[in-house]
Amino acid sequence: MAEVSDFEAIYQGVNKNVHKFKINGLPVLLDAAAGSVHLIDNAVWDFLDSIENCCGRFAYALRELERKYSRREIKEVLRELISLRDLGLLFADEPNAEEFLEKEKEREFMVKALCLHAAHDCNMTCGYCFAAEGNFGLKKELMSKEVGERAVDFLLENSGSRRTLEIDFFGGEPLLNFEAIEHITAYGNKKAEEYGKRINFTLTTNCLLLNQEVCEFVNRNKMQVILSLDGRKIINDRVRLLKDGRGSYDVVVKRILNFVESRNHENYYVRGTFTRKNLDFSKDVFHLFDLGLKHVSVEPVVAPPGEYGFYEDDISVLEMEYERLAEGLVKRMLSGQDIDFYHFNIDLDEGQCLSRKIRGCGAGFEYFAVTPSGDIYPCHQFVGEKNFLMGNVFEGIKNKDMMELFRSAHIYSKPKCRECWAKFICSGGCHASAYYFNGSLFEPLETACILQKKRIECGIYFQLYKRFGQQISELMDFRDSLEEKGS
Amino acid sequence: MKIKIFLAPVLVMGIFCLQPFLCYNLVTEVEFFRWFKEVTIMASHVITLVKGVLVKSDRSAGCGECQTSCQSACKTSCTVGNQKCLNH
Ligand code: SF4
Repeated sequence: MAEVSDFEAIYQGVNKNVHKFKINGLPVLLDAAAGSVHLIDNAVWDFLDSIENCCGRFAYALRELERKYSRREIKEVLRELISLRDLGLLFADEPNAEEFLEKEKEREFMVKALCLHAAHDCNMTCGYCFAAEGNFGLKKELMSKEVGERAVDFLLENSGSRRTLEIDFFGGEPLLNFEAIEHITAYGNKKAEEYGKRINFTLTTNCLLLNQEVCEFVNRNKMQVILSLDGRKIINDRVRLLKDGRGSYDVVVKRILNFVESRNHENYYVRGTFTRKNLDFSKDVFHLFDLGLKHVSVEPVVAPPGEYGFYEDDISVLEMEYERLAEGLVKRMLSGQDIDFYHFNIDLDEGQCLSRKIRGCGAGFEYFAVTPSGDIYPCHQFVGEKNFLMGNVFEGIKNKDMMELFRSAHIYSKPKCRECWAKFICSGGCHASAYYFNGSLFEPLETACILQKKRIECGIYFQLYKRFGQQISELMDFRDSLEEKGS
Repeated sequence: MKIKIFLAPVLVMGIFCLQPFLCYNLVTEVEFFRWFKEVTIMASHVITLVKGVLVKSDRSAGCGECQTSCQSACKTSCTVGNQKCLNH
């Protein structure tokens, strides 16, 4: 029989980055450190289960397994798992992050992206808006051309050796200040060229002012555009309201469809938010695809439990809803529809470098939000929080300690993330929700974690179907016949 | 009798026309097996569908050219798996 050390290796392995899950009946085994994805049968599933739960008492685990499987089978499973380990495809060691983090401390800060709040004002009154109808609790204001220019200079001057930079026009509703956006874009392009760099621009808009002139401008400048719409008319119009109290669906959908047509259905996302009012949000995602849209991103609202924010009991409902969504999107994709759902886009093949994996979000040290008056905050979600004011575009960052604090908030410094199987894909979650709900950047919000993990599982499920098509469901039965044909 | 004589060439033609489709099915299935064997590792209990790339320390520092998570389609949650590495 097998060596105890083999059991020991598996026991150590399953408690690290290895995670098994079933989505709509498909049993998947993931090793997030190795980046490998496997399909497994019941024997492996039960085997891993009993090893995981045996607390190191392998003889006990074996006895449990023998009730269900023959010794030969158990031996086979063990042999296969061990040979996958030897190939580096399972139970892989984690990279040596300590050394990397030490070195990183000596690296200078390089700013990469800015979220420019072109307007702290809005022409809509959405019920759930975290920006408090556009002004983030500050005074209503539009960004001047001068502040915009200084923000571009700040980005370029502090970008170090980075060549690809980003500016996102955000608000409120940024198009209320279209003139400044035009000016800042032209200025940014000119300046970036002088520096030998490139700035990618993004515009996030509620679409009300997305007229012919704006469409031509964003298309000419190849801007990525994020268009806000929540889904079904009844859902959207309950929350996303015009100033006169009417729903925005009709006017917004018309504008979105014209716009995406004008850019050949490329380089945009229609972005929606779901709340407690539509726990069945998969229907809203389907609705958006039914409108003929190809790139959709719909995500949970950021709000405390209440009218919009979720209660703990809602989370299991949402988990099931994600599975429903995955199943529905797979069906649509297999029937030939173009489906790009942002949160299921998981890159299975080529992972990112370690610096990216340990810290997904660059907020506070390489990504900042700039208010209309030029103040700098770690990200759009912290705008208006006095404790997080870091400086301004005229004098630069004054609070360097804050930068260090944000840089030090990564998967190895957050105790919960350290132990989490999803850490190399999730990369530590959202700083703002950790801070607002738990009062610390180092303690991620539990409900967000549950949903994040479910999204990762569903994303992997979706990507497997994308790559292997319908055959994936038949694979488990296929296996034997394939082996025969192959031999 | 006349009708049967008339139908025979039609049938032959029909089978002839359908042939590429029948073959196509066969070919794609065989090709699928071959491709499948290349991209996966089959064992009797585990099928490895994605071999993945180890998170390696030597690729640790990174070039920093990829997108900042929150900067794009999502403004409230980040998933690094979403971001394409620009070096690949
Ligand atoms: S934020 Fe949550 S889901 Fe993400 S790695 Fe940390 S513990 Fe895991």
